[in-house]
Amino acid sequence: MALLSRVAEQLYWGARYIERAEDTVRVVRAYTDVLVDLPTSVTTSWEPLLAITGTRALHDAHHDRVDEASVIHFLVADDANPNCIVHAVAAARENLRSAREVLPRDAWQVVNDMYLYVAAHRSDGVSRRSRSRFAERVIADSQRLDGILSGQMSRDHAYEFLRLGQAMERADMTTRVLGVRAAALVESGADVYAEVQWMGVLRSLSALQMYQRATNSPINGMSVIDFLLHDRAFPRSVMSCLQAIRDGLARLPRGDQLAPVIAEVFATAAQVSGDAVDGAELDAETDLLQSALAGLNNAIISTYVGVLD
Amino acid sequence: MTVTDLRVNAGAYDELLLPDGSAREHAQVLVNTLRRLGVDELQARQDHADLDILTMGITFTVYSDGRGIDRAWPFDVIPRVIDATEWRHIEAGLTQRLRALNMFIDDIYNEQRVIVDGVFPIELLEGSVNFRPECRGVRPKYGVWAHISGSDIVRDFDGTVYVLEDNLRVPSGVSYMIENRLISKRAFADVFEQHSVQPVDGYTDELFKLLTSLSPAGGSSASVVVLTPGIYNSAYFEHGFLAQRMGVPLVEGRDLFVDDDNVVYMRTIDGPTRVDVIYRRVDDMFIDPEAFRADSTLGVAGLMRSWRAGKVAIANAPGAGVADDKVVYAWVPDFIRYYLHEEPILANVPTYRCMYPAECQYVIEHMAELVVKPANESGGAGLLIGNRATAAEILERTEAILADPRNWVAQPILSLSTAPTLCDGAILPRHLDLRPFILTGATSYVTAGGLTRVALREGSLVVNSSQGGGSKDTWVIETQPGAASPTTAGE
Repeated sequence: MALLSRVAEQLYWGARYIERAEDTVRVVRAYTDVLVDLPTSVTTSWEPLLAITGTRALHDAHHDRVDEASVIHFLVADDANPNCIVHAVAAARENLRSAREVLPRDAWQVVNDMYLYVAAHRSDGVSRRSRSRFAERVIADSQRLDGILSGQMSRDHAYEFLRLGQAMERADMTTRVLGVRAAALVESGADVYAEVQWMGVLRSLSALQMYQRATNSPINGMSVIDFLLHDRAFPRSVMSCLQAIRDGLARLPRGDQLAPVIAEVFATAAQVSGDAVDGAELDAETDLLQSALAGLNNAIISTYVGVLD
Repeated sequence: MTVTDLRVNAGAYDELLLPDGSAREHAQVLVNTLRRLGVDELQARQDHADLDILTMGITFTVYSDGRGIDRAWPFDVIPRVIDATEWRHIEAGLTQRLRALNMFIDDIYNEQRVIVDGVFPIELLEGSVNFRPECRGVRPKYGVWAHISGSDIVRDFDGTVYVLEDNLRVPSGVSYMIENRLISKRAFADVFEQHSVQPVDGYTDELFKLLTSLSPAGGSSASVVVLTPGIYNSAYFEHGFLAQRMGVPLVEGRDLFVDDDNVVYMRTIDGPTRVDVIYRRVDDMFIDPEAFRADSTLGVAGLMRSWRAGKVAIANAPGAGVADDKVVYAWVPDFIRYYLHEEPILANVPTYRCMYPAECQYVIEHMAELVVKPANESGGAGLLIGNRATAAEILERTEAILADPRNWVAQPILSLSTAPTLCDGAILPRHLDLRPFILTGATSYVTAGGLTRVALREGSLVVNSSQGGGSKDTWVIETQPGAASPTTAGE
């Protein structure tokens, strides 16, 4: 059955927001764990979390200091931050609510349930003691939704838009983590705690175990970057996400019109390499990749949603 | 705590209990169960049900500070039970009523025989706010305009069932009827096993069949959509529910457009896609800014053009509300006799029409025993309940009636029936009504039971969910073995 353009857009954003909530919670949890592991002699900063989520300016407009309390609250539950976890889940719910008739009923219930949980437990996500419990619940709900969609939803156009949104958001988050954390680590060179920190980068994308299995060697910054960008088997690598986007678009009407745009994103991703000599170069390359992804996002929206008159 | 003393209010008819507090025959198993379970267990089941409602996202929207707020649907776990034999009678009465009402609407927009023959006064049509001249000359399929209706029925203290209102425009509540059953089956699985309760789940399938049958193109498949005003509408939950159950798109006005060929299209990722049937949940004044309110952003410009050209079917048809008005209501028994040559099966509440001097005289002399209503306002505005009014209010109303008699009608004060309801850890009698849903097309269908709405406050007769009303699952129970019959009444 024909899928309304408005509903397609709501599915796309609904899935992006759910993925954003899950990815943010993973990054926050992994970063907290790394800082806890590092000895007190090492200077630590919570600023990278703001950089990864691209919310530094917004944060500073509302807070005087950048410390654990302000950053975590800002990323989890601050009404001033439209991308915080509570707001992302609320936005996903609002979008999927108006697309409810095309979703399996259980899928909507998970999203609703997730919203009720984060809205009622926002302070749990902030407090260090309960933060990981909150994170586990958000991740579990997001995975529950993923499972329902996999197991109960026909591979129709509505499904494709959900998966497009998910893959776009994943590619975006992986790119951001590379641009901020990896670039900073490359810049700081051979620190004694580099290994712990690279493990943190991998953990924030739930990639540690798969990386170790794939490389079968000690952790090395260059190969981590290469893995997160180019590994074809790991589902959160940029290339895997792009592959999923390309395949999904091919199953949609007029998807061929977007082929040149996606080809350009592939080319840009291929140029970013783990051989980058310095952090600034990696940072600049991931910036280009970010813009290419933003361009793809706009092209998807204008092709399928257009301008409503 | 045990439930030994189920109370009945003096002067009201209880749906489950006899005046001495013992169970009515059809409610025996349920009442025994209530007694056996006790209040604590019932409260536990109520809490489970409330949690289910919350997590399933069964909500309605109320307005506060200009924002729509989602509220969990209020549900009382104790069901309301109706005997199937009585239900068959009510069902036949509703079917009959809707046939006559549809014949009236079709007549009024076409030949107007009912006026020519002196049955219905032309002045009423001229004063009707729901008459749409834009609909003159249109002949919808099967002569049916009000395809989906939700009549409100009540029971007076002597047990008589009355139709209080025929909601022919965009009646809501059917999704809650279906959800209530789902919740109630979880709460009372043990009781369901002991009863033959008629299912209510078939409604959406019947609705889909009806809508498909309206397609101007004919054939067994059609492009059907549900048109909603959007997420801020109080019944948005229901619009999504019905679209989901029928597997059809839920559209907003901005998703549709009418092209130069007068065909309605929806904007899809495949490009414009033709729409054959629109189940609209937007009031007809808002469906087409070209024909009605120009400031409406909820509608589709050109929709009336398309409908008049026979390119799209709209349910309910624009203009169907002409028969849903407090004055026209008084003529429904006459319509049944005039169009069907039958006697009405269900009682109409006796309605005194002040436009007639003799009836006006009666209203003025007996105002303390009557409810006086303005003819064309909804939502209880301007309602005067005689036995609760002061002498000054009665005097004021008398002057208003004399100044503009055509704008007033009056009815005897009915006492709504009650049923045992769980209220803060006690089981108390509370007033209720019933909204069955009737589908009319080539054939008719009536839901088995309907949505029971209950006033949760003591003594209150206000059952609206926006004003503190709750709801109950409604069981139509077969007490005569082997008498079960399908609920579809073919015409």
